[in-house]
Amino acid sequence: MTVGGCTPNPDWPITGTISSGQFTFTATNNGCSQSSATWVTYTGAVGTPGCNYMYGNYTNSLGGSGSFGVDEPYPIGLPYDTREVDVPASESTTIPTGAQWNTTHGAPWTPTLAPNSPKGEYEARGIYEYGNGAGTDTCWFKGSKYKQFITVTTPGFEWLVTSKNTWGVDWIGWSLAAVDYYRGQGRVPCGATFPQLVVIDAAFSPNNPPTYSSYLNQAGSLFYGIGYETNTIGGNIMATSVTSIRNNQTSTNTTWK
Amino acid sequence: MRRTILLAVSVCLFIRVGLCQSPITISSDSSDLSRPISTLLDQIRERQGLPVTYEDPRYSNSADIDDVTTKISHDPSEAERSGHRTLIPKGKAISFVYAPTDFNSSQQAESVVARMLQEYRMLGGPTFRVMRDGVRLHVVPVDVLDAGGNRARQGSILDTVVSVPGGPRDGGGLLQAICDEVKKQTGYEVGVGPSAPSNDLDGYRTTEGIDHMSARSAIERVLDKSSRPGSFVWDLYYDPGDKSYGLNFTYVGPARTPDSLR
Repeated sequence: MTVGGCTPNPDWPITGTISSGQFTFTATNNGCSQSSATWVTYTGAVGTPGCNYMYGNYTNSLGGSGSFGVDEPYPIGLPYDTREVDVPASESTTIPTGAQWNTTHGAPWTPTLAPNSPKGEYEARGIYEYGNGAGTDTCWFKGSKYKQFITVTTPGFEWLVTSKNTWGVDWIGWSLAAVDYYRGQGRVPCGATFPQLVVIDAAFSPNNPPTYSSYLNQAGSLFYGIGYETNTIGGNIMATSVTSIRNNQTSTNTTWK
Repeated sequence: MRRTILLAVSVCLFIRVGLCQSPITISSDSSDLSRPISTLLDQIRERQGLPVTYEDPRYSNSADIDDVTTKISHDPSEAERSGHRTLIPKGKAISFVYAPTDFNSSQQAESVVARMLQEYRMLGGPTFRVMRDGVRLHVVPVDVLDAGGNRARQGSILDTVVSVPGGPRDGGGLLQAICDEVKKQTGYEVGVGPSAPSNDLDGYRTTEGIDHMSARSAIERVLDKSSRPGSFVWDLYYDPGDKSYGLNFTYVGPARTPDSLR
């Protein structure tokens, strides 16, 4: 069937702008649809968490107007405009340039989410860390003045993804006091490793992957997210050096002797 | 048929209520009796989410101390040559029974922890007491056997009043400054362990100092300005060999994954 001499096409070309989650775009009738409107303009916002839903208002060339979507990431019985949430395929890890080890915190790490296309793909999304089972600590012994170092220290802690698709800083590793202690007890070489589950926030969509689940963050607030990776993190203590480990990457400190 | 259904519902309710009120028994770890009270508190924290801290006494009587140097050193002969001894506390095995309803209020929680400490003392262990300060309970030493075998009074090292001048630093820097001040005043080193909540502490940027506050309150202040109040607690462990403390942290806050939410 043809309309006005062309094949019906439901896709209307659009032009518009988006900045800091606020957008305006106009869709133009390509002349081959069955609508009598020549254009419709949508003004609204991409919602967080998740950045996978939108809401706002529209007007069209016929004088019609109304609203679309809803400002609610987890709608129940409400009209929603959502899409399957973007989930990182993986993350790589680097030590920030010029970053220094800290005697209390260990080494600083800055993960980068992949793919980074388009650039800043995950900007403003929330990343959370959780433990994911127990690890091992070969420095510890029964009666040690330090407890076993076998799980993440800040479960439910949130970082926001930057425009460069990075998040952090994620501090990982031994404190200097523990390094000195275990060396003094004749325990080195030794080390600790444990799993770190990293979760990215997400709003509801019927097309989300099945791993979309509810979590509680450090503040006790409920959110939904998707665990996209389990990292192995930790560190080793040697006689004259200390390492911090994240995702098969190692940062070595040779000044804590 | 209707009567059968009612009976079934009644039985289910009875069982459920009965289970809720069933006493809970927690026990020390028979393979590690170095700090039985801390072990029990860990179980209470996990089961009841109670924000309670723990502090070792400074053990000095040989009956309270084990020498594990040759057991734990990777090179026992080197350890013997160096003369350094690894000494650990030696506690008493204990089991403690409570009802979940004992933790329905903070006053009840304080009472049940006090009862547990009393039972431990009856076994011959050191005397502890529990006190409330802000949102946390604190288990602190009261007395311990001295070298001659007599019970000697011993307060909490975290009663030490500290002042730290203001200056730009993060929560970790302020925590370290508090521990340094305790060492300056008492001679006992307090080492910050690897379990410190580094990401939270790093996020707390401050120019504030500490003005004549107990070390306990100062540490609480740093933790509670860095994260949700009461969500982290500590265990302050004493090493009788090095005569120093290790400050350990445990998260007892609300964060949960789907597995633990079920």
